[in-house]
Amino acid sequence: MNGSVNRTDGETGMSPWLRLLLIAICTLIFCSCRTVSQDTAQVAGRPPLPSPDAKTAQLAANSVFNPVQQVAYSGGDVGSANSSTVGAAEASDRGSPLTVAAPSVPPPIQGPIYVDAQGNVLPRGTPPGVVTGAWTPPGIAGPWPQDEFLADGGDLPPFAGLAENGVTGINPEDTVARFQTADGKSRVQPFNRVFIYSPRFASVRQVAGLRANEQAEKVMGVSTPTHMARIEEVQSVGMGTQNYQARAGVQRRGLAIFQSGQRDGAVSQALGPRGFSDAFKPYENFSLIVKGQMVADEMPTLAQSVQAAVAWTADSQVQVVVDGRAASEEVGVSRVHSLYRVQSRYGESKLRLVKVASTATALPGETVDFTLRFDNVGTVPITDLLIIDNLSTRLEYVDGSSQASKAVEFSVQPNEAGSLTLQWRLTEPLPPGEGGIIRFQCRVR
Amino acid sequence: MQAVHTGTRPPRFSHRSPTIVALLVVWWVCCLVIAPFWGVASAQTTGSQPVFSIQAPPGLVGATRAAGPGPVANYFQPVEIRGPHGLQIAFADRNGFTEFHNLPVTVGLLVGRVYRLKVAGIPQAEGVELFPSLEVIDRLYPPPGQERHFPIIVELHPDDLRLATAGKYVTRVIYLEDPQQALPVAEGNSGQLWFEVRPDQDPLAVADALGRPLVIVRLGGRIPLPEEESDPAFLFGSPPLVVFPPKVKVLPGPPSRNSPATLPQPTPEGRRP
Repeated sequence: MNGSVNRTDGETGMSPWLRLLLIAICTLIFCSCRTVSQDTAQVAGRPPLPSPDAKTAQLAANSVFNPVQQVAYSGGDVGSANSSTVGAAEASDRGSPLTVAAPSVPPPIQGPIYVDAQGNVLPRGTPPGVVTGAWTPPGIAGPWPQDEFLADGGDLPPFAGLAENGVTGINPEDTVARFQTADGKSRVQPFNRVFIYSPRFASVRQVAGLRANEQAEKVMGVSTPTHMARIEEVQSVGMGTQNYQARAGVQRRGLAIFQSGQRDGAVSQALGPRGFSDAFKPYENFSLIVKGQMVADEMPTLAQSVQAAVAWTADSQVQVVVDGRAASEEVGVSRVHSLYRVQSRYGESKLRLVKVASTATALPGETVDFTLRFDNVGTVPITDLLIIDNLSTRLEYVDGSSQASKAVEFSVQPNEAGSLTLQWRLTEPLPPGEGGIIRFQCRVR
Repeated sequence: MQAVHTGTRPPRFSHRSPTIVALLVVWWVCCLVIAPFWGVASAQTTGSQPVFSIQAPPGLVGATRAAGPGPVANYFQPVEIRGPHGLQIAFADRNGFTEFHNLPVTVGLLVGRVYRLKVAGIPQAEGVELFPSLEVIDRLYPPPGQERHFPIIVELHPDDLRLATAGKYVTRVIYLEDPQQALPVAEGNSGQLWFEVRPDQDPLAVADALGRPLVIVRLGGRIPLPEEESDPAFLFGSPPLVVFPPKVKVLPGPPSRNSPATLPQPTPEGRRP
């Protein structure tokens, strides 16, 4: 009897914690099922919560024409506006969401907005022929997307290393120098990177016909009640077999030896000391470039010249590996130039490398001048100095534009990026305290 | 003592039913909460379903980007529209379209809005008008003061116009080339480099793989009736835009060969027209 009573309690009653749990769950369900209506959210001036579904629905609603959204751009009269710019602030004011379309609300701003020479918004109906002047967008803060810049210089991974008669690991955009110190060891050192703003556009096209949206329906199946009644066919022997003695084995083998003709792919040219023509160009008007002397006042301007995008300087720190021994960086001015020293028992080998560009922005088809400045700021001569600039895909070397203030052997070779690799090899040692300039031009593709 | 059973036999696990019910309710609530995120998470992890495709309604891709991070919303991105000689375009206005502009023309367009254009003067198709749409889905970040010198270039190719007049629907996605993947060829006189994708491919996905998509141009399809040209739904609401003055003076076209040669008449200012 007791067991029956206990079972009955278990069917109809619950333990207190179960009741509390059910109450909490029901409360949670009822609270979560309450939704805020779209109109209420818009009247309150706030968009709905950014849940995936709600956000997509809102964006879809904004993407197409919506009369309510048109009222949202009814902030002011264009004809009476006298703002200096048509930028984010003004547009943001126009874009404040409103849902109540009162009769006194001015008509929405539609169609083009013309500005005059001072950037003032002209009344509607003004002929566009009298519209002059520039338009100033809202302020832009960095960092800028890197895909809008052309870079040249530095040493990207995999880093450059020593080879038997040159340098390996030269990637597109790399610019490095290889030299020999007084103790006979070779070093590889990169230049700084130079950024040029030069976006290039391309497009992808898709052509669809009117039949693109048609659906071809097919039948589910075909019932064929006919079948073969009988097969009666006698086939004769179609193949005879006869034993033959093999005379030789025939097989295909790959090429064991091949010969290739080495064509004149490289163009060598020797430039004497007088090969460097022209006066210094405006963008080279720095004591560091002209005289090889560091002037503190020029450092900010020089930094802008060598780094069009300063925001990316942190990603273009120079790296150098000297026979498994890292060279020590000299001072904290690596934003402008690369300076490394190698201490040996013969003295201190120090090579300073600077790279500047003539412009920070360029359109496709325009020409950009690059100047490389190298200085031996150590106490021992530097021999076998080889400077390599591996041009990027969109930089095309202008033939005959290479100039050098020292006697160099200049050569060009095609690289894997479809451009050229430029090499300058100094024919004479570089004494301490001396330096030189290499200048060349590239056309932006 | 045996229990006395009445009428019906009680369930076997009757004493556990509250627990089972509670567990089922908890499981159901969990499924209810997790379900909306499950599809998004699986799509993002597998990558089998792209977030957006070219099949999305016009404006959805750009509006999503405008609602994203960065100074994108309410920014008038300069766009330079080019085309063959003689082509003219008009922009959607409140009650229709504005006057025609000779190409090239530079305009500032809002990111995330769709603009309806009216194209006339199509070569070898005089009298035919097309109504392409233009959607800016991202912006550029030029150095301050260089915004007008580096607009997004949108070219209305003669081949696209020819296909559109023949009844085809042409979709073109203009993207910013990744310098690391850019083709080592110059643009030349033929204009912008472009690729053709198959109808079963998504041009937006292809452009995203090659660079950063910026503009979607949809050309062709249905031509509206005259009374539909002022329909706000057809004009996508005529969003505001900024028309920049031309950088170069557009000279008139060459005289027709059939027209008789005439001497230029001096203007009152003493200049040739």
